[in-house]
Amino acid sequence: MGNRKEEDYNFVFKVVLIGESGVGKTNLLSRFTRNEFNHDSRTTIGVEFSTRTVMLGTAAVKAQIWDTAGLERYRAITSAYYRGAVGALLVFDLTKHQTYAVVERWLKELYDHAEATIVVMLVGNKSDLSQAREVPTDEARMFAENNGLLFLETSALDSTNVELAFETVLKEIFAKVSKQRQNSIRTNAITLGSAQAGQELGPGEKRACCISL
Amino acid sequence: MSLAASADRGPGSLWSPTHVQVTVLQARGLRAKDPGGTSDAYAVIHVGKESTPPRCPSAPWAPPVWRECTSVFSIPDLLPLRVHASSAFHHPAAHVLHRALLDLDKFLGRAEVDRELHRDQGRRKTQWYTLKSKPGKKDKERGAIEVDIQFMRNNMTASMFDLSMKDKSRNPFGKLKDKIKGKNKDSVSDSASAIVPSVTPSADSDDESSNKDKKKKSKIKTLFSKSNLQKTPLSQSMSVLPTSKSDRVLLRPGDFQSRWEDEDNEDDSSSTSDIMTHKRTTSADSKQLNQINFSLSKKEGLSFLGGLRSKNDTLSRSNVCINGNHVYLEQPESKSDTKDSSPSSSPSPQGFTRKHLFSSTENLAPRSWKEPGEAGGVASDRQPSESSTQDSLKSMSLPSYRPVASGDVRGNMAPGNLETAKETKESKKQENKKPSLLSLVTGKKDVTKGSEGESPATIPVKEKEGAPPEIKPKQDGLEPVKDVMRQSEKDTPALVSGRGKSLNPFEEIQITEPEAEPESRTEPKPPVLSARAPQTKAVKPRLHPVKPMNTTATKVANSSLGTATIISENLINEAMMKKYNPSDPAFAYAQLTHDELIQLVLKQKETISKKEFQVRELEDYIDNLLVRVMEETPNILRIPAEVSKKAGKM
Repeated sequence: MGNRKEEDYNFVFKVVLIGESGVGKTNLLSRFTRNEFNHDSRTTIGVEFSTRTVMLGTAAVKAQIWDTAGLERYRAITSAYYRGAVGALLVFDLTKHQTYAVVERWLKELYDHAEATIVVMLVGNKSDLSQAREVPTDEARMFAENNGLLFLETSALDSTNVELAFETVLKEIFAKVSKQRQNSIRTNAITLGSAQAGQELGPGEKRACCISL
Repeated sequence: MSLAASADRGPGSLWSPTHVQVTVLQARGLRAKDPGGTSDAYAVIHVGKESTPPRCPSAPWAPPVWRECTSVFSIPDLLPLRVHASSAFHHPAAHVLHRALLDLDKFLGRAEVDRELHRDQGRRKTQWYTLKSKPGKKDKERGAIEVDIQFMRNNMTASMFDLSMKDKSRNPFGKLKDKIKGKNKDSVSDSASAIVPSVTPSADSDDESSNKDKKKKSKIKTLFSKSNLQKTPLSQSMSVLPTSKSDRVLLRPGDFQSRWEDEDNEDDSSSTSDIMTHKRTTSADSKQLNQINFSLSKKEGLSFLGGLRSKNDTLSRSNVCINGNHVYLEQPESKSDTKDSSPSSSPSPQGFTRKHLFSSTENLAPRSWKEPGEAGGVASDRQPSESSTQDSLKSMSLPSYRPVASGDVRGNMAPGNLETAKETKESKKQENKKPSLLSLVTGKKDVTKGSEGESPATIPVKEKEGAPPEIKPKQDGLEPVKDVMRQSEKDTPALVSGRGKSLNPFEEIQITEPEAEPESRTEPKPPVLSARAPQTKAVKPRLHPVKPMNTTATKVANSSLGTATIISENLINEAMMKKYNPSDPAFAYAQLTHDELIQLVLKQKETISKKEFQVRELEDYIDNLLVRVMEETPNILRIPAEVSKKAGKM
């Protein structure tokens, strides 16, 4: 599963990280893609993404995970940020109930801009701070079930469930893609990768190339 | 007396100034730093490390004439036990800074005035000093400032030291006391302090002593506040003193702990004090007063009145042991009286306080105080009038204020209380408006009367000029003193928006008339929040009293220019300044007036909003750029490490 082969992949899945500012999106990303954790990371400015290729069965899936600031205000990038995303991790800080209370708002924004088939996981981050927990696990799980979301509690600090969370999402996406492939239906939401080695461009990138060219 | 005493002692021997009072009178030829060609100049006085926060703001126009730009410094190397005539006296240097609202103050020049002082200790000098550049910088034409320097000495503090110092060793203190006592005998007045020539020597001595006392008190307070251990000494000292009521002694330590507690205690003491006051009134012993003062100083460094009175009485009377209770009671009363706050205090308490005051004044009079004698006479006259609180208030107020206008007038005024009473009320109101400090000062003045005449006068004059018109109408309507006081309080808030602290105490007074006296005590305290606070308070009172005392000329200028609001602002500023060390970045802002601070805040807010707008615009711009990047070349958004790999691959 964890094999990293940048050049060899069958699929590129765009996954976005969303959630309130300070819930740990960037550290989840760095933990998953680089196995790093920054204790004094600052608020994210702008937009970044990181990739990691994982093996799902026999298929190499390249996860292209996007991260941006968890700002409430509308941003011009919102549309572009969600465009082409086939998976999303909606992160909240389980030690700050406020970040959980606004999950619904994030969900709405997600569904407003992303494909309806997008795979969404609700992630309660900072599970290492159990003594400061403000959001009960059951409450979050119930919410996730009621809204058709996956759910996990993670800790970017001690790596708990970080891999599992991303891989679960990727598997779910892969399952959907496989199903679609079987039906020989392509959805825009899924980047169909081709098995061509060395091709790293996602759909957006392809377009960019085409446009630029 | 103080002058004579000092002269007799001679500069080298006994005359060892403990404090130096530096007054910056005016400046000329300052460099213009404002676009308009003027400098909003003020002066900061530094004595050794004791860079003072005395803000000496001048009107924005040039040339600056400073009002109340006086500060008193303790001479660093003078220890209570040893007074060195040749003590290393740090150079008092007056820096004239150009005050810019947003920027750090600009340096206009500095004058070193120490040397002459050193040689001429025990003297008072007023002279022009040429402003120079900072060491190592080019000399420019910076103009000159006129500085008045006066060396002072506090005898009162000795008693204070005894109380506080008992723990360490009585011997040194005892020596000090002996010295002081001897000095006092010579001077006839306990408070006798060797002050340089002043218009009214007695007044100067009082002021100086008060200042010194304050300082000492503050020190004592700090000690107590800092450590509980020190409290015990207080209690001990209290016990040593006549203690019919140990309870109060206990309470005072608590007072040290917290102001609020103090207030409560005061209230308690006030209730008890009523009884005590009667006793006192019956027999107002200067000794008792002194003792009380001591206890007060320990308990409350803030209460200037107590300190002042104590100063007056303390030196000679320290020997006598009075009932602790009486002492305590007297103190609160005396405080209320001095504050003029008396107006605020309930009639009965006032009566008591008045009686006490009278007693105290009377005591002083026999001692050979000229002015005190006058005061005593007034007091005696008024004692009978205790039944009529207003009259008593008037009488109280009259002595204090009139001295300001003219010391002689006081005695005359006292008889014709009614006419002057209004004025006094006004002045009282003004004083009320000003923080407790003014009231304290006035109260002190009352006690000292003659000696303080000049210096206190200046302050009251200012107050009167500024505030009276506003206050009078209300006062006229309300005959009852209490009502007047309340009104004055109300007025004060309107006049002075800055001093929330001072207002609170007043409010308390209003609520509890009988307890007004204790509350008055509390008033001074509120400003001083913590251990440090006492010191700061002490400093504040010093500045005002000191300023007026120093130079009549400055007084006149002050009276003409000063307004109640200005004074209040100054007080507030001083309070603020006290809290900050020169090294503290906030120190620069502590020198700003309330209005200036408001302007500063508004400007900052404006700039912040502008910045926020700019930030938003930048964010939008970045977002738009990002959108383009995401649509065209998302790869460059990949986190660097990865990008580099890709780049290599590419």
